[in-house]
Amino acid sequence: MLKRILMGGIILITGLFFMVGAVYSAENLTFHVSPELVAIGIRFDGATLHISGTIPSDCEAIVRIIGHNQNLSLKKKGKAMGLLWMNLGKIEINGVPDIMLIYPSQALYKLSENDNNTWEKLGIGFKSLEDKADVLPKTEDKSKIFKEFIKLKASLDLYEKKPDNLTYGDVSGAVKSFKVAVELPSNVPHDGFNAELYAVKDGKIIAEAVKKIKVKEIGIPAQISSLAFNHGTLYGVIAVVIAILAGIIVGVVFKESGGAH
Amino acid sequence: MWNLYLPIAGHSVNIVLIFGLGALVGLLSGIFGVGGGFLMTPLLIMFGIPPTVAAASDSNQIVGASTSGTFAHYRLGNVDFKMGFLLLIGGVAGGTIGVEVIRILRATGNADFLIKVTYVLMLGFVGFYMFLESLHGLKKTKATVVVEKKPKKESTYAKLIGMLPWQIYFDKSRIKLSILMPLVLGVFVGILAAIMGVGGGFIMVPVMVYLLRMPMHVVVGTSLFQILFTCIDVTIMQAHSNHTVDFVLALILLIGSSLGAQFGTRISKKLNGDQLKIILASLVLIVMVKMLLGLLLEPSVLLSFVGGH
Repeated sequence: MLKRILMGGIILITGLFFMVGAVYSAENLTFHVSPELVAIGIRFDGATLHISGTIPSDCEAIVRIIGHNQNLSLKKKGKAMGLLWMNLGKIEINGVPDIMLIYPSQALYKLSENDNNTWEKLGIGFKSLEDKADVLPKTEDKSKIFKEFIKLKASLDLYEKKPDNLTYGDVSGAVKSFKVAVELPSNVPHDGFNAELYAVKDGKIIAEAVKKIKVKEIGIPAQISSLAFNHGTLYGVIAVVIAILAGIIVGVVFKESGGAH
Repeated sequence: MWNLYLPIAGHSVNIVLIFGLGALVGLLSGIFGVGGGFLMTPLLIMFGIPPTVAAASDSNQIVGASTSGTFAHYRLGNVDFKMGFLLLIGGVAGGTIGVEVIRILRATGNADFLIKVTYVLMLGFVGFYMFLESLHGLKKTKATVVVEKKPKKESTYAKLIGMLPWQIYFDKSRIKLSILMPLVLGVFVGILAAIMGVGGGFIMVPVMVYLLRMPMHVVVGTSLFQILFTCIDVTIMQAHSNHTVDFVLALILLIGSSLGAQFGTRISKKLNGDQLKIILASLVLIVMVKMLLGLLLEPSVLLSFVGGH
């Protein structure tokens, strides 16, 4: 009898545990991204994505922007003859996203400052990227190459970790609201990306949500890209003809104004 | 407010800044007859334009700048078309050889090292030689104006080139030369330009002054004329094969550089040959020192994207 009660108790507690998990992922996580389409027109100079939502009140939020995986061929610089800094061969880095912006809450960021393994445990930071990526040739020092790769991407504003942008709002019952303004650079990849929300508790991800964001060229940039990529030679000839005409026009204008002196 | 999105570069830029860059490089182009590719491309890369797009779009803007410059110099009677065509034929042949050379070097894995070292040595040699020579010329002009008329003794070099076959007279340059000279030197410059990935103006100008012995003002106009054709070829090839010509970027640059080139031509007319040479020599030396420092100091990032110079 006692054994049965004990078994029933265990089943009940386990059921409750899963229910709580289900509540976390299904109800207490809301996620809005605006706009869901980034339009690139002639005056495009980067864009701001307004991301907001709610997470369980006892959790911390991380918002991550992550692009499609790409394989990159890069030049590696090193010292030739112990004196001159030169490109000393090519490196391939495979399976890395074209953009990755991470916006953790301040509390999470502080935690990661004190514990170096925080991001590794969560599996969503730059360190986890290093573990998944392939660096060729295999003889290279992967960790050193990856550090330089992050620096290269950061110099283009495509890889970043920003601790101060995510803020919390009201706590209402079991949930609290958050918001973050994500600054996309003007060189945002054209094939779109995912906006992801993670709710973290005790160093573990307990719920997550994803939204696909599209990026599209419109107007003049779309027309120029279409001509350049679909009719390259014609595009080249047009570019040359206009350049020559512009040169002649400037020459003629200056001849006339020069004559007046 | 002044930003504009460049679809091929995939980047937005400040119009005023790009226009200013174009004007500055166009000014130098008008004064010295160099295409400015060796200055413009690194500057564009500095402002975040991908290296391949920077180099190809720069060729496109040089088409505009050198058209405007050639036009201005033509009106002043400073273009030797006969010499220009011969150098161009040699240059195209040399460029083709140079592209093959670089392909072989890349296969052996030593290309980048050789390109950079060639760059520094060429710039250093040309810069120092022009600087010292024109400094000497300036001193001489100040000291002895009367002695100028004294007939010079013919040098061994002059005797040697006088012995070559197919001598013809070049009206504009007022020199008699073998047809082989511009052809062979055109090939030489073409090879170097292809290896270094530039238009070759800064090598062509000293070659015309010192090896072809052309007068400085004709050198500038003729060099611009030759660069115009080289860059037309490069722009169409790059647009066809690599899709790296950013037309919008080139257009802003060329409006700036066409205007700059006009002012440059006027300034060039006011300076004498030695003054022109000494300024160009200083510029070449500055670029050489910058490249040398780039070789000696540790870069902030040890990886870079494939493409560019």
